[in-house]
Amino acid sequence: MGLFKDKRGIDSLYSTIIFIILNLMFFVAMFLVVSRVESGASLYEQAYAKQIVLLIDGAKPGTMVSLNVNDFNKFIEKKLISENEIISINANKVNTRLSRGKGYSFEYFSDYAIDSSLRHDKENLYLDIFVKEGENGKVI
Amino acid sequence: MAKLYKKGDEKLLSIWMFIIWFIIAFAIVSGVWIFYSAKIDIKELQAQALNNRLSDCIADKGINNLDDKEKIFSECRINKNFNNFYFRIDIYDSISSTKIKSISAGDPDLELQYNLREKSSAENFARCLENEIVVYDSGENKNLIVKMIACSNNAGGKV
Repeated sequence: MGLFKDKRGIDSLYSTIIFIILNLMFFVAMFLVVSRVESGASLYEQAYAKQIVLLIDGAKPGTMVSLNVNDFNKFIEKKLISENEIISINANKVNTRLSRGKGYSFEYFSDYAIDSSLRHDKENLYLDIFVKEGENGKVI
Repeated sequence: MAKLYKKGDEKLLSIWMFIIWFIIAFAIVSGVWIFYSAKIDIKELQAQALNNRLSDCIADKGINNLDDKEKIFSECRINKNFNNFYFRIDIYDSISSTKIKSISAGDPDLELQYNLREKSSAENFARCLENEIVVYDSGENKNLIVKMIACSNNAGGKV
């Protein structure tokens, strides 16, 4: 009681409360920033774009490659992106997009026509890449 | 003593506290940003893929059928509009070691970057891969030494 009667005590209590609230706000803000970045969308976009490019450049026409892409599930489940927007392969570029941005783009040197599609198999998600004869997306 | 404590209370929410918070926030954000903006460098792997493509193509089609760069583009299924690459194929006589022919395409600056990179550590310079194979020329009935260098400086990026 003596504390509330004493103006110095009340001032001290208020400033302590404000200090604690501001501290909490600061740490919540930091947690949000880190957890937002931690989803790693940009790193996954880059890694998968480059992996797909290396698969295409290492393949011969007639090859079908299935790549396990279970990492995409968490972005699909969070509804950050729809399945058909994740991978696009055209004009000698692989574009991967796992968040609302424009994604990551990487070029391959092969002059192949490429078809790609996502496929669910039990609990796994696969990216099927079909390497075909053809030039710049034109299938012979 | 009481006076001293009062001063301490008043300074609890001072500008220094906000400055310290700002420094901590800056350190956390920049640390996270540096960690997650890491680049995955596959230039060397792409140079290797290009080198393998050329080797396989020479083995499949025969060196005599690849006498200019346009034929190499079409027979080896390499996109001629791909900007960040370079390759050079030098063909030597296996006995006299004289150069018979040289075919190159792409940006020759990449080979220069690669040679400079051996002396320095420039991260953005091209990576190249050299390879040498021996092929049999049935027309001339002799062995030829084919030396290849394939380079890539494909960095990719956010759209």
